[in-house]
Amino acid sequence: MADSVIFNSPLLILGFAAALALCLFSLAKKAGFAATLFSVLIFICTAAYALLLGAPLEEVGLVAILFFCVNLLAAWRGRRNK
Amino acid sequence: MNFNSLEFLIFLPAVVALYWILPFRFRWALLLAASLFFYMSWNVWLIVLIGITTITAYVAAICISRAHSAGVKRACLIITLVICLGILIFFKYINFILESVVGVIRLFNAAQDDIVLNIILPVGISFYTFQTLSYVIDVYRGDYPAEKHFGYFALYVTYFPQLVAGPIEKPGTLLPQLRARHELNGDDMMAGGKWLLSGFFRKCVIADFCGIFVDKVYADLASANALAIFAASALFLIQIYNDFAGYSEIALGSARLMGVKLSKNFDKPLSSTSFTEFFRRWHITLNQWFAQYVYIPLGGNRRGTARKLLNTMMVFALCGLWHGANWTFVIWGLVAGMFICIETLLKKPCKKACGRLGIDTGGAGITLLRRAVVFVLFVACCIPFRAQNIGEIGVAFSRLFTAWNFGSGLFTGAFESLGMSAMQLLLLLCCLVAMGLIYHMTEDVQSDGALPLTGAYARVNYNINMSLYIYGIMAVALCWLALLANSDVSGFAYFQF
Repeated sequence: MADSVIFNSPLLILGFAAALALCLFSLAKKAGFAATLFSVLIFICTAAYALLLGAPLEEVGLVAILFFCVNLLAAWRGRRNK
Repeated sequence: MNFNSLEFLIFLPAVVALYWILPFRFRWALLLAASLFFYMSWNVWLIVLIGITTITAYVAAICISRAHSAGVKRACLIITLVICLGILIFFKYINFILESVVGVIRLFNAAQDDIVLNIILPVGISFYTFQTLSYVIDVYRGDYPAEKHFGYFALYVTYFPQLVAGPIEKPGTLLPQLRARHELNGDDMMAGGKWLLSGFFRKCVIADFCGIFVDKVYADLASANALAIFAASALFLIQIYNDFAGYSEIALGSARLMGVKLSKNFDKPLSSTSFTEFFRRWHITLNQWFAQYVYIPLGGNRRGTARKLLNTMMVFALCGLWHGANWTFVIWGLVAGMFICIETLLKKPCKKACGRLGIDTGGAGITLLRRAVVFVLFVACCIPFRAQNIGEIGVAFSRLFTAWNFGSGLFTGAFESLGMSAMQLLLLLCCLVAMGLIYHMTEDVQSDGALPLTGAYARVNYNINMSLYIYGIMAVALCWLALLANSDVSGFAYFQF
């Protein structure tokens, strides 16, 4: 954690948290296209900024996997609820 | 040209685009040319071997279909078996056979230098040989008519999505699809895209990431403690599963983009409650091939329990040998066969005992316990599969049973052997969660070839589909680049078989 670029930058934490909140909102509330698009855009901008700050690919990849998992979980739940 | 290479990321879209642009009558020629180019990208001369196998099978099948006498038909079949299996044995097993013969000579204290022939192992030779044999045997049995069009037959043998590591398709499944006129449709594109994404995630993120730690432990088994060896073997099981399932999904996705539905190769094997079930769900097309063309002709389970057990052991020994020219694979096959035999023998007594004790064998607790036992035993099976030689198997098992240094850094020692940092542990856990979700989402619907994201949940599905693609592609790209930067990216394990 001490070496982590993301955990040591409040702006990055805020960016990823906002992207995650929007992503969850768009999935849970069945919001339209705009919420998902914003979530993706915020994520891409924050990830790019994290890479510019020197975050290792592994660390940004980990966050991307977390977002991927959230979407997989939503898809899985959607299938179970069918 | 591996599936996880940049060349393939250019090759696949180019072939798919050309496939849909070209008129129907030229499509087979395009696919055949693309498949030959794909295969020749490993070594141009390999085309000669696959060419001999293809021509032999084509001519033999035509002769079988035209022959009126059973003797001629049988002779054609035997000639094909000798030529195709001869090529396989020579190129894959000749050094193994020579090494074993030299070993036997040395056992009798006779001086004998090593004999090693300098030949390359053709990529995917076991897969296309078995697929070709299944075609000739089906024609011989009258289960499928001989294909008259050489181009379509050559395409059946060399079809690039499944050429080097399966699925091993029966002629009745693949040939009619290759001949059919497919129309471009969104569902196929969507399903193909999802298979590709899931396959790349399995291979480029999960399998390659697990491989880093497995390699570290197996490079120095003598200094690893029992926990490290168990963890590395469990990770190896996850690695090999995701490596091969990932390959199969990329193959499924690539074929689906051209309207072809390949057979499923995995059906949630890690949730099996018995060894028999495990092998029914793992590498399904190979196990079906062995069942149909070896186990049943040997008598299957129709000639009593003793013969059934003997047949099982023979098939598993052959299955082990199929995986590689090394005694470690034969040991793996024999151990797996032994587990199946023990399970067969214990099935009835266990059922009776459970009935007397009033234990519900289908209950959630018992099911979980059975899954855990199968998983742990299969992890033990993975040790001979991963070991380079018999000596390594001995070292691994002796450490596994003796090196439980409780109280003196069991966990610290294991982490040191695995070479795992806190960040990597976190990444591994996330990968495993993702694997679990993909595992539950994809494999039980492989039969219709699509992830369950279309249909009733259309509105929310659109968001899920879009974000799955974007986040999934980013996750794969970032982790793949991270692994590439550390030179931890590897080829597909099953290509060597």
